[in-house]
Amino acid sequence: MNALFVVAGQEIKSATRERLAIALLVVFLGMALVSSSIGWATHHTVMSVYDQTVLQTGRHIPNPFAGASALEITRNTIIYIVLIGALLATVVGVRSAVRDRKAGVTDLIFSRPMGTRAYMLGKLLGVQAWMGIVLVAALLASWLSAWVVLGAPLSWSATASLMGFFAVAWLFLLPFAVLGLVAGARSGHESTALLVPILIWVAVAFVIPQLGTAQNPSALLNPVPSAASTTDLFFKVNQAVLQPISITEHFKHAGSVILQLQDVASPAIGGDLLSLGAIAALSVAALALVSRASMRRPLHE
Amino acid sequence: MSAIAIETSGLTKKYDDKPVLADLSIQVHQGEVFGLLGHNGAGKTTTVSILTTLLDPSAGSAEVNGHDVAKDSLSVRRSIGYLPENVQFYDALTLRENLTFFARLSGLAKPAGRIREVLSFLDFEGHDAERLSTFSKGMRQRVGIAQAILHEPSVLFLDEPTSGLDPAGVKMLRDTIIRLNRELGMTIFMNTHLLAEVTKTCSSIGILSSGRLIHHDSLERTLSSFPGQDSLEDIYLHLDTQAA
Repeated sequence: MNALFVVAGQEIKSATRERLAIALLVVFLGMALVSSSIGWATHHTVMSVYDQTVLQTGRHIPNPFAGASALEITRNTIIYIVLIGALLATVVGVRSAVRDRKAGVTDLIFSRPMGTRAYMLGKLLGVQAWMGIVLVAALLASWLSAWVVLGAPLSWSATASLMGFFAVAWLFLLPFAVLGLVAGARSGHESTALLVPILIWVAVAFVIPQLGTAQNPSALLNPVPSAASTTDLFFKVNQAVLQPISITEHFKHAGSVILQLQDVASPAIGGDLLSLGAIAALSVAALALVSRASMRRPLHE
Repeated sequence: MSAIAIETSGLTKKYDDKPVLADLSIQVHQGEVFGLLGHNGAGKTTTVSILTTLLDPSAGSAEVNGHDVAKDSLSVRRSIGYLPENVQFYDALTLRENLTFFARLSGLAKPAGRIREVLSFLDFEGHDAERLSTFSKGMRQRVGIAQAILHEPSVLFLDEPTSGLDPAGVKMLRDTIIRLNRELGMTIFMNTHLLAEVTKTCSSIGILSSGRLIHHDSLERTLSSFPGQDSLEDIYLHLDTQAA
Protein backbone atom coordinates (compact mmCIF):
# COMPACT_ATOMS: atom_id res chain seq x y z
CA MET A 1 0.00 0.00 0.00
CA ASN A 2 1.27 3.46 -0.81
CA ALA A 3 2.85 5.12 2.24
CA LEU A 4 0.63 8.16 1.68
CA PHE A 5 -2.52 6.10 2.22
CA VAL A 6 -0.94 4.26 5.16
CA VAL A 7 -0.34 7.61 6.90
CA ALA A 8 -3.86 8.79 6.01
CA GLY A 9 -5.37 5.60 7.44
CA GLN A 10 -3.31 5.94 10.60
CA GLU A 11 -4.45 9.55 10.89
CA ILE A 12 -8.11 8.57 10.83
CA LYS A 13 -7.53 5.70 13.27
CA SER A 14 -5.66 7.93 15.73
CA ALA A 15 -8.21 10.73 15.38
CA THR A 16 -11.12 8.45 16.23
CA ARG A 17 -9.42 7.59 19.53
CA GLU A 18 -9.30 11.24 20.57
CA ARG A 19 -11.97 13.38 22.17
CA LEU A 20 -11.21 16.24 19.79
CA ALA A 21 -12.49 14.26 16.81
CA ILE A 22 -15.74 13.41 18.56
CA ALA A 23 -16.08 17.00 19.75
CA LEU A 24 -15.63 18.16 16.17
CA LEU A 25 -18.42 15.86 15.01
CA VAL A 26 -20.73 17.07 17.78
CA VAL A 27 -19.99 20.75 17.02
CA PHE A 28 -20.70 20.34 13.30
CA LEU A 29 -23.92 18.45 13.96
CA GLY A 30 -24.89 21.13 16.48
CA MET A 31 -24.08 23.84 13.93
CA ALA A 32 -26.35 22.23 11.35
CA LEU A 33 -29.22 21.84 13.83
CA VAL A 34 -28.86 25.36 15.29
CA SER A 35 -28.76 26.82 11.79
CA SER A 36 -32.01 25.05 10.86
CA SER A 37 -33.64 26.10 14.14
CA ILE A 38 -32.68 29.74 13.63
CA GLY A 39 -33.82 29.53 10.02
CA TRP A 40 -37.16 28.12 11.10
CA ALA A 41 -37.54 30.73 13.90
CA THR A 42 -36.76 33.57 11.48
CA HIS A 43 -39.18 32.24 8.91
CA HIS A 44 -41.87 31.70 11.56
CA THR A 45 -41.46 35.22 13.05
CA VAL A 46 -41.47 37.01 9.70
CA MET A 47 -44.48 35.04 8.50
CA SER A 48 -46.39 35.80 11.75
CA VAL A 49 -45.78 39.52 11.26
CA TYR A 50 -46.71 39.18 7.58
CA ASP A 51 -49.95 37.31 8.37
CA GLN A 52 -50.95 39.83 11.05
CA THR A 53 -50.17 42.76 8.74
CA VAL A 54 -52.25 41.28 5.94
CA LEU A 55 -55.07 40.53 8.40
CA GLN A 56 -55.05 43.99 9.98
CA THR A 57 -54.59 46.05 6.82
CA GLY A 58 -56.65 43.83 4.54
CA ARG A 59 -54.29 44.76 1.73
CA HIS A 60 -52.33 42.41 -0.47
CA ILE A 61 -48.67 42.60 0.45
CA PRO A 62 -46.07 40.49 -1.36
CA ASN A 63 -45.07 37.43 0.73
CA PRO A 64 -41.44 38.00 1.77
CA PHE A 65 -40.69 34.33 1.26
CA ALA A 66 -42.41 33.99 -2.07
CA GLY A 67 -40.04 32.14 -4.38
CA ALA A 68 -37.55 31.63 -1.58
CA SER A 69 -35.48 28.46 -1.58
CA ALA A 70 -36.31 25.74 0.92
CA LEU A 71 -32.64 25.94 1.83
CA GLU A 72 -33.13 29.44 3.26
CA ILE A 73 -33.39 27.81 6.67
CA THR A 74 -29.79 26.60 6.40
CA ARG A 75 -28.34 30.00 5.53
CA ASN A 76 -26.57 30.41 8.89
CA THR A 77 -24.56 27.27 8.23
CA ILE A 78 -22.44 29.36 5.86
CA ILE A 79 -21.24 31.69 8.56
CA TYR A 80 -20.83 28.84 11.07
CA ILE A 81 -18.49 27.10 8.68
CA VAL A 82 -16.54 30.31 8.09
CA LEU A 83 -16.12 30.99 11.79
CA ILE A 84 -16.32 27.72 13.70
CA GLY A 85 -15.52 25.24 10.92
CA ALA A 86 -12.36 27.04 9.81
CA LEU A 87 -11.14 27.32 13.39
CA LEU A 88 -11.80 23.63 14.04
CA ALA A 89 -10.07 22.59 10.81
CA THR A 90 -7.03 24.59 11.94
CA VAL A 91 -7.03 22.96 15.37
CA VAL A 92 -7.43 19.48 13.87
CA GLY A 93 -4.49 20.20 11.54
CA VAL A 94 -2.30 21.33 14.42
CA ARG A 95 -3.30 18.32 16.48
CA SER A 96 -2.50 15.97 13.61
CA ALA A 97 1.03 17.31 13.10
CA VAL A 98 1.75 17.56 16.80
CA ARG A 99 0.48 14.05 17.59
CA ASP A 100 3.46 12.21 16.08
CA ARG A 101 5.96 14.68 17.52
CA LYS A 102 4.46 14.38 20.99
CA ALA A 103 4.29 10.61 20.71
CA GLY A 104 8.00 10.61 19.78
CA VAL A 105 7.50 8.42 16.71
CA THR A 106 8.88 10.77 14.04
CA ASP A 107 12.28 9.07 13.96
CA LEU A 108 10.63 5.68 13.51
CA ILE A 109 8.46 7.06 10.71
CA PHE A 110 11.25 8.85 8.88
CA SER A 111 13.51 5.81 9.04
CA ARG A 112 10.94 4.17 6.73
CA PRO A 113 11.12 4.39 2.93
CA MET A 114 8.88 7.42 2.66
CA GLY A 115 9.57 11.08 1.87
CA THR A 116 8.51 14.02 4.04
CA ARG A 117 6.10 15.24 1.35
CA ALA A 118 4.34 11.89 1.15
CA TYR A 119 4.05 11.93 4.93
CA MET A 120 2.54 15.42 5.02
CA LEU A 121 0.22 14.69 2.11
CA GLY A 122 -0.90 11.53 3.91
CA LYS A 123 -1.60 13.58 7.01
CA LEU A 124 -3.63 16.08 4.98
CA LEU A 125 -5.51 13.29 3.26
CA GLY A 126 -6.38 11.79 6.65
CA VAL A 127 -7.47 15.13 8.12
CA GLN A 128 -9.55 15.96 5.06
CA ALA A 129 -11.09 12.48 5.06
CA TRP A 130 -12.12 13.06 8.65
CA MET A 131 -13.42 16.54 7.81
CA GLY A 132 -15.34 14.90 4.96
CA ILE A 133 -16.97 12.43 7.35
CA VAL A 134 -17.92 15.29 9.68
CA LEU A 135 -19.35 17.37 6.82
CA VAL A 136 -21.37 14.41 5.51
CA ALA A 137 -22.81 14.01 9.01
CA ALA A 138 -23.65 17.74 9.07
CA LEU A 139 -25.22 17.39 5.61
CA LEU A 140 -27.45 14.58 6.84
CA ALA A 141 -28.37 16.58 9.95
CA SER A 142 -29.24 19.61 7.80
CA TRP A 143 -31.31 17.51 5.40
CA LEU A 144 -33.21 15.79 8.22
CA SER A 145 -33.81 19.00 10.16
CA ALA A 146 -35.08 20.68 6.95
CA TRP A 147 -37.51 17.79 6.54
CA VAL A 148 -38.74 18.22 10.13
CA VAL A 149 -39.03 22.02 9.87
CA LEU A 150 -40.61 22.16 6.41
CA GLY A 151 -42.80 19.10 6.94
CA ALA A 152 -41.61 17.49 3.71
CA PRO A 153 -38.31 16.12 2.45
CA LEU A 154 -36.13 18.40 0.35
CA SER A 155 -36.49 18.04 -3.41
CA TRP A 156 -33.77 16.29 -5.42
CA SER A 157 -32.60 19.65 -6.69
CA ALA A 158 -32.40 21.18 -3.20
CA THR A 159 -30.63 18.04 -1.93
CA ALA A 160 -28.09 18.34 -4.73
CA SER A 161 -27.56 22.01 -3.85
CA LEU A 162 -27.00 21.10 -0.20
CA MET A 163 -24.48 18.45 -1.23
CA GLY A 164 -22.74 20.96 -3.50
CA PHE A 165 -22.57 23.45 -0.66
CA PHE A 166 -20.91 20.96 1.71
CA ALA A 167 -18.49 19.94 -1.05
CA VAL A 168 -17.43 23.58 -1.41
CA ALA A 169 -17.19 23.79 2.39
CA TRP A 170 -14.76 20.84 2.30
CA LEU A 171 -12.62 22.72 -0.23
CA PHE A 172 -12.85 25.92 1.82
CA LEU A 173 -11.66 24.16 4.99
CA LEU A 174 -8.65 22.53 3.33
CA PRO A 175 -6.32 25.57 3.54
CA PHE A 176 -7.13 25.92 7.23
CA ALA A 177 -6.24 22.27 7.84
CA VAL A 178 -2.97 22.83 5.96
CA LEU A 179 -2.31 25.95 8.01
CA GLY A 180 -2.65 23.88 11.19
CA LEU A 181 -0.51 21.05 9.82
CA VAL A 182 2.33 23.34 8.77
CA ALA A 183 2.27 25.25 12.06
CA GLY A 184 2.16 22.00 14.07
CA ALA A 185 5.04 20.53 12.07
CA ARG A 186 7.31 23.58 12.18
CA SER A 187 6.75 25.03 15.61
CA GLY A 188 9.08 24.37 18.51
CA HIS A 189 6.33 24.87 21.08
CA GLU A 190 2.88 23.34 21.23
CA SER A 191 1.38 26.64 22.36
CA THR A 192 2.77 28.63 19.42
CA ALA A 193 1.79 25.80 17.08
CA LEU A 194 -1.79 26.61 18.01
CA LEU A 195 -1.52 30.36 18.54
CA VAL A 196 0.09 31.29 15.21
CA PRO A 197 -2.53 29.64 12.96
CA ILE A 198 -5.32 31.06 15.12
CA LEU A 199 -3.91 34.56 14.58
CA ILE A 200 -3.79 33.86 10.85
CA TRP A 201 -7.38 32.56 11.01
CA VAL A 202 -8.43 35.82 12.70
CA ALA A 203 -6.74 37.80 9.94
CA VAL A 204 -8.29 35.70 7.17
CA ALA A 205 -11.76 35.51 8.68
CA PHE A 206 -12.04 39.06 10.01
CA VAL A 207 -9.28 41.48 9.03
CA ILE A 208 -9.01 40.82 5.29
CA PRO A 209 -12.80 40.91 4.68
CA GLN A 210 -13.02 44.02 6.85
CA LEU A 211 -10.35 45.77 4.81
CA GLY A 212 -11.91 44.71 1.56
CA THR A 213 -15.45 45.70 2.48
CA ALA A 214 -14.71 48.45 4.95
CA GLN A 215 -17.54 50.60 3.72
CA ASN A 216 -19.97 47.83 4.38
CA PRO A 217 -18.70 46.21 7.59
CA SER A 218 -21.97 44.41 8.23
CA ALA A 219 -21.01 42.17 5.31
CA LEU A 220 -18.39 40.63 7.57
CA LEU A 221 -20.85 38.40 9.35
CA ASN A 222 -23.43 38.37 6.64
CA PRO A 223 -23.84 35.10 4.81
CA VAL A 224 -24.56 37.07 1.65
CA PRO A 225 -21.74 39.54 1.25
CA SER A 226 -21.93 42.34 -1.17
CA ALA A 227 -18.78 44.15 -2.06
CA ALA A 228 -18.67 47.76 -1.02
CA SER A 229 -19.61 50.01 -3.85
CA THR A 230 -17.19 52.86 -3.73
CA THR A 231 -15.47 55.42 -5.82
CA ASP A 232 -12.77 56.00 -3.24
CA LEU A 233 -9.36 54.98 -4.58
CA PHE A 234 -8.20 53.53 -1.27
CA PHE A 235 -11.08 51.08 -1.09
CA LYS A 236 -10.82 50.31 -4.80
CA VAL A 237 -7.16 49.36 -4.40
CA ASN A 238 -7.98 47.42 -1.25
CA GLN A 239 -10.66 45.47 -3.01
CA ALA A 240 -8.50 44.79 -6.06
CA VAL A 241 -5.67 43.46 -3.92
CA LEU A 242 -7.65 41.59 -1.30
CA GLN A 243 -10.58 40.30 -3.32
CA PRO A 244 -8.72 37.34 -4.88
CA ILE A 245 -7.41 36.14 -1.52
CA SER A 246 -10.55 36.84 0.51
CA ILE A 247 -11.27 33.16 0.89
CA THR A 248 -14.12 33.68 3.35
CA GLU A 249 -15.82 36.15 1.01
CA HIS A 250 -15.56 33.71 -1.89
CA PHE A 251 -17.01 30.93 0.24
CA LYS A 252 -19.84 33.09 1.57
CA HIS A 253 -20.82 34.18 -1.93
CA ALA A 254 -20.49 30.74 -3.52
CA GLY A 255 -22.39 29.16 -0.61
CA SER A 256 -25.18 31.71 -0.87
CA VAL A 257 -25.59 31.09 -4.59
CA ILE A 258 -25.47 27.31 -4.24
CA LEU A 259 -28.07 27.37 -1.45
CA GLN A 260 -30.19 29.63 -3.69
CA LEU A 261 -30.50 32.29 -1.00
CA GLN A 262 -32.30 35.55 -1.66
CA ASP A 263 -30.48 38.89 -1.98
CA VAL A 264 -27.40 37.48 -3.70
CA ALA A 265 -25.64 40.21 -5.63
CA SER A 266 -24.40 38.05 -8.51
CA PRO A 267 -25.32 34.47 -9.42
CA ALA A 268 -21.92 33.73 -10.96
CA ILE A 269 -19.69 31.57 -8.78
CA GLY A 270 -17.02 30.53 -11.29
CA GLY A 271 -14.57 33.11 -9.98
CA ASP A 272 -15.26 32.11 -6.37
CA LEU A 273 -14.68 28.43 -7.06
CA LEU A 274 -11.55 29.24 -9.05
CA SER A 275 -10.17 31.31 -6.17
CA LEU A 276 -11.08 28.65 -3.60
CA GLY A 277 -9.47 25.95 -5.77
CA ALA A 278 -6.34 28.02 -6.38
CA ILE A 279 -5.93 28.81 -2.69
CA ALA A 280 -6.46 25.13 -1.82
CA ALA A 281 -3.83 24.10 -4.41
CA LEU A 282 -1.38 26.71 -3.11
CA SER A 283 -1.92 25.48 0.43
CA VAL A 284 -1.17 21.90 -0.58
CA ALA A 285 2.04 23.19 -2.16
CA ALA A 286 2.81 24.94 1.15
CA LEU A 287 3.21 21.50 2.75
CA ALA A 288 6.65 21.54 1.14
CA LEU A 289 7.62 24.10 3.81
CA VAL A 290 7.76 21.22 6.28
CA SER A 291 11.11 19.51 6.55
CA ARG A 292 12.17 16.32 8.26
CA ALA A 293 14.46 18.39 10.48
CA SER A 294 11.59 20.55 11.76
CA MET A 295 9.45 17.49 12.49
CA ARG A 296 12.32 15.87 14.42
CA ARG A 297 12.84 18.92 16.63
CA PRO A 298 11.75 18.49 20.24
CA LEU A 299 8.30 19.90 20.91
CA HIS A 300 8.00 21.89 24.13
CA GLU A 301 4.75 22.58 25.95
CA MET B 1 36.28 -11.44 4.48
CA SER B 2 32.56 -10.85 3.91
CA ALA B 3 31.17 -7.91 1.95
CA ILE B 4 30.93 -4.47 3.48
CA ALA B 5 27.52 -3.59 4.94
CA ILE B 6 28.34 -0.12 6.27
CA GLU B 7 31.11 2.19 5.16
CA THR B 8 31.77 5.79 6.03
CA SER B 9 34.48 8.03 4.66
CA GLY B 10 35.40 11.35 6.24
CA LEU B 11 31.90 11.62 7.67
CA THR B 12 31.46 14.97 9.38
CA LYS B 13 28.54 16.73 10.99
CA LYS B 14 28.65 20.32 12.18
CA TYR B 15 26.09 22.44 13.97
CA ASP B 16 26.75 26.16 13.55
CA ASP B 17 30.29 25.35 12.41
CA LYS B 18 30.89 23.33 15.57
CA PRO B 19 31.77 19.74 14.65
CA VAL B 20 29.97 17.04 16.62
CA LEU B 21 31.33 14.33 14.35
CA ALA B 22 34.63 14.75 12.56
CA ASP B 23 36.13 12.74 9.72
CA LEU B 24 34.64 9.38 10.69
CA SER B 25 35.84 6.52 8.49
CA ILE B 26 34.74 3.01 9.40
CA GLN B 27 33.80 -0.26 7.75
CA VAL B 28 31.38 -2.82 9.14
CA HIS B 29 31.19 -6.15 7.35
CA GLN B 30 28.06 -8.19 6.76
CA GLY B 31 27.20 -10.44 9.68
CA GLU B 32 29.14 -8.37 12.21
CA VAL B 33 27.81 -7.00 15.47
CA PHE B 34 29.53 -3.64 15.69
CA GLY B 35 29.55 -1.63 18.91
CA LEU B 36 30.14 2.13 18.74
CA LEU B 37 31.34 3.25 22.15
CA GLY B 38 31.75 6.68 23.61
CA HIS B 39 30.70 8.90 26.46
CA ASN B 40 27.57 11.03 26.28
CA GLY B 41 27.88 13.62 23.53
CA ALA B 42 30.70 11.75 21.77
CA GLY B 43 28.75 11.67 18.49
CA LYS B 44 27.28 8.14 18.60
CA THR B 45 23.64 9.13 18.04
CA THR B 46 24.69 11.62 15.35
CA THR B 47 26.48 8.79 13.54
CA VAL B 48 23.44 6.51 13.69
CA SER B 49 21.14 9.36 12.67
CA ILE B 50 23.23 9.96 9.55
CA LEU B 51 23.46 6.25 8.72
CA THR B 52 19.69 5.86 9.09
CA THR B 53 19.24 8.93 6.82
CA LEU B 54 17.55 10.98 9.53
CA LEU B 55 20.33 13.58 9.39
CA ASP B 56 22.28 14.87 6.43
CA PRO B 57 26.06 14.89 6.83
CA SER B 58 27.93 18.19 6.55
CA ALA B 59 30.80 16.49 4.72
CA GLY B 60 32.08 13.06 3.78
CA SER B 61 30.04 10.10 2.63
CA ALA B 62 28.41 6.97 3.97
CA GLU B 63 26.99 3.88 2.35
CA VAL B 64 24.71 1.23 3.80
CA ASN B 65 24.32 -1.96 1.79
CA GLY B 66 25.97 -0.14 -1.11
CA HIS B 67 23.47 2.75 -1.10
CA ASP B 68 24.63 6.30 -0.44
CA VAL B 69 22.78 7.70 2.59
CA ALA B 70 22.53 11.19 1.09
CA LYS B 71 21.82 10.36 -2.57
CA ASP B 72 19.77 7.18 -2.26
CA SER B 73 18.14 7.49 1.14
CA LEU B 74 14.99 5.55 0.23
CA SER B 75 17.02 2.47 -0.77
CA VAL B 76 18.95 2.74 2.49
CA ARG B 77 15.72 2.90 4.49
CA ARG B 78 14.31 -0.13 2.69
CA SER B 79 17.26 -2.24 3.82
CA ILE B 80 17.62 -1.16 7.44
CA GLY B 81 15.83 -1.50 10.74
CA TYR B 82 16.19 1.13 13.43
CA LEU B 83 15.58 1.18 17.15
CA PRO B 84 16.03 4.71 18.53
CA GLU B 85 17.02 5.42 22.12
CA ASN B 86 13.92 5.59 24.35
CA VAL B 87 11.68 4.32 21.58
CA GLN B 88 8.12 5.64 21.67
CA PHE B 89 4.90 4.51 20.03
CA TYR B 90 1.27 5.53 19.67
CA ASP B 91 0.17 4.77 23.22
CA ALA B 92 -3.53 4.96 22.37
CA LEU B 93 -3.16 2.16 19.83
CA THR B 94 -2.67 -1.54 20.48
CA LEU B 95 0.50 -3.48 19.83
CA ARG B 96 -0.99 -5.00 16.67
CA GLU B 97 -2.12 -1.60 15.38
CA ASN B 98 1.29 -0.05 16.02
CA LEU B 99 3.17 -2.87 14.32
CA THR B 100 0.72 -2.95 11.40
CA PHE B 101 1.31 0.75 10.80
CA PHE B 102 5.10 0.48 10.78
CA ALA B 103 5.01 -2.72 8.71
CA ARG B 104 2.85 -1.03 6.07
CA LEU B 105 5.12 2.00 6.03
CA SER B 106 7.93 -0.43 5.29
CA GLY B 107 6.02 -1.76 2.31
CA LEU B 108 4.37 -4.90 3.71
CA ALA B 109 0.87 -4.96 2.22
CA LYS B 110 -0.55 -7.73 4.44
CA PRO B 111 1.61 -7.79 7.53
CA ALA B 112 -0.55 -9.90 9.89
CA GLY B 113 1.37 -13.14 9.28
CA ARG B 114 4.75 -11.46 9.53
CA ILE B 115 3.76 -9.73 12.78
CA ARG B 116 2.79 -13.10 14.30
CA GLU B 117 6.11 -14.54 13.13
CA VAL B 118 8.16 -11.71 14.63
CA LEU B 119 6.28 -11.74 17.94
CA SER B 120 6.80 -15.48 18.13
CA PHE B 121 10.54 -15.05 17.40
CA LEU B 122 10.73 -12.51 20.22
CA ASP B 123 8.67 -14.76 22.50
CA PHE B 124 6.21 -11.91 22.88
CA GLU B 125 2.87 -13.40 21.95
CA GLY B 126 -0.43 -12.70 23.68
CA HIS B 127 -0.14 -8.93 23.89
CA ASP B 128 -1.51 -8.05 20.43
CA ALA B 129 -4.70 -6.40 21.62
CA GLU B 130 -3.13 -4.47 24.51
CA ARG B 131 -2.58 -0.72 24.26
CA LEU B 132 1.03 0.34 24.54
CA SER B 133 0.21 2.76 27.34
CA THR B 134 0.12 -0.30 29.62
CA PHE B 135 3.57 -1.62 28.58
CA SER B 136 6.70 -1.52 30.73
CA LYS B 137 10.02 -0.16 29.45
CA GLY B 138 11.28 -3.69 28.75
CA MET B 139 8.11 -4.57 26.82
CA ARG B 140 8.38 -1.38 24.78
CA GLN B 141 11.96 -2.21 23.91
CA ARG B 142 10.79 -5.58 22.58
CA VAL B 143 8.14 -3.83 20.51
CA GLY B 144 10.94 -1.56 19.31
CA ILE B 145 12.94 -4.57 18.14
CA ALA B 146 9.78 -6.06 16.56
CA GLN B 147 9.04 -2.94 14.49
CA ALA B 148 12.67 -2.78 13.42
CA ILE B 149 12.81 -6.31 12.01
CA LEU B 150 9.30 -6.65 10.53
CA HIS B 151 10.49 -6.02 6.98
CA GLU B 152 13.48 -8.37 7.38
CA PRO B 153 16.23 -5.75 7.06
CA SER B 154 19.79 -6.91 6.54
CA VAL B 155 21.23 -4.19 8.78
CA LEU B 156 19.87 -3.23 12.16
CA PHE B 157 20.77 0.01 13.96
CA LEU B 158 20.29 0.07 17.73
CA ASP B 159 20.81 3.31 19.64
CA GLU B 160 21.52 2.62 23.32
CA PRO B 161 19.20 -0.42 23.25
CA THR B 162 19.69 -1.30 26.91
CA SER B 163 19.21 2.22 28.21
CA GLY B 164 16.86 2.28 31.20
CA LEU B 165 16.29 -1.48 31.29
CA ASP B 166 16.45 -3.61 34.44
CA PRO B 167 18.94 -6.53 34.54
CA ALA B 168 16.34 -9.00 33.24
CA GLY B 169 15.48 -6.63 30.39
CA VAL B 170 19.16 -6.17 29.57
CA LYS B 171 19.68 -9.94 29.40
CA MET B 172 16.59 -10.43 27.26
CA LEU B 173 17.74 -7.76 24.83
CA ARG B 174 21.29 -9.09 24.71
CA ASP B 175 20.01 -12.59 23.92
CA THR B 176 17.73 -11.16 21.24
CA ILE B 177 20.60 -9.27 19.60
CA ILE B 178 22.73 -12.42 19.53
CA ARG B 179 19.85 -14.44 18.02
CA LEU B 180 19.12 -11.79 15.39
CA ASN B 181 22.75 -11.95 14.35
CA ARG B 182 23.26 -15.71 14.52
CA GLU B 183 19.87 -17.03 13.43
CA LEU B 184 18.80 -14.33 10.96
CA GLY B 185 22.27 -13.22 9.86
CA MET B 186 21.60 -9.55 10.48
CA THR B 187 24.44 -7.06 10.60
CA ILE B 188 24.02 -5.05 13.78
CA PHE B 189 25.34 -1.57 14.47
CA MET B 190 24.88 -0.74 18.14
CA ASN B 191 25.55 2.46 20.06
CA THR B 192 26.24 1.96 23.70
CA HIS B 193 28.28 3.01 26.65
CA LEU B 194 27.63 -0.20 28.57
CA LEU B 195 30.95 -1.95 28.04
CA ALA B 196 29.87 -5.19 29.70
CA GLU B 197 27.23 -5.61 26.99
CA VAL B 198 29.74 -4.96 24.25
CA THR B 199 32.02 -7.77 25.38
CA LYS B 200 29.07 -10.17 25.37
CA THR B 201 27.57 -9.25 22.02
CA CYS B 202 29.94 -7.40 19.69
CA SER B 203 32.48 -8.80 17.26
CA SER B 204 34.06 -5.44 16.49
CA ILE B 205 34.09 -2.03 18.11
CA GLY B 206 34.76 1.62 17.43
CA ILE B 207 35.43 4.23 20.09
CA LEU B 208 34.41 7.83 19.63
CA SER B 209 35.75 10.66 21.71
CA SER B 210 34.48 14.20 21.18
CA GLY B 211 33.31 13.34 17.69
CA ARG B 212 36.54 11.64 16.60
CA LEU B 213 37.14 7.94 16.07
CA ILE B 214 40.04 6.99 18.31
CA HIS B 215 39.89 3.22 17.89
CA HIS B 216 38.39 0.72 15.43
CA ASP B 217 39.15 -3.00 15.46
CA SER B 218 37.73 -6.41 16.22
CA LEU B 219 36.88 -7.00 19.87
CA GLU B 220 39.29 -9.90 20.04
CA ARG B 221 42.25 -7.90 18.72
CA THR B 222 41.33 -4.94 20.90
CA LEU B 223 41.39 -7.05 24.05
CA SER B 224 44.75 -8.58 23.13
CA SER B 225 46.39 -5.38 21.92
CA PHE B 226 46.59 -3.67 25.29
CA PRO B 227 48.47 -6.06 27.54
CA GLY B 228 48.61 -3.66 30.46
CA GLN B 229 44.80 -3.31 30.56
CA ASP B 230 42.66 -6.02 32.14
CA SER B 231 39.28 -5.27 30.61
CA LEU B 232 37.53 -3.40 27.86
CA GLU B 233 36.60 -0.78 30.43
CA ASP B 234 40.28 -0.18 31.21
CA ILE B 235 41.14 -0.04 27.51
CA TYR B 236 38.31 2.39 26.84
CA LEU B 237 39.35 4.70 29.68
CA HIS B 238 42.99 4.50 28.64
CA LEU B 239 42.19 5.45 25.02
CA ASP B 240 39.74 8.14 26.02
CA THR B 241 42.22 9.74 28.40
CA GLN B 242 44.92 9.64 25.71
CA ALA B 243 42.58 11.28 23.21
CA ALA B 244 41.62 14.00 25.67
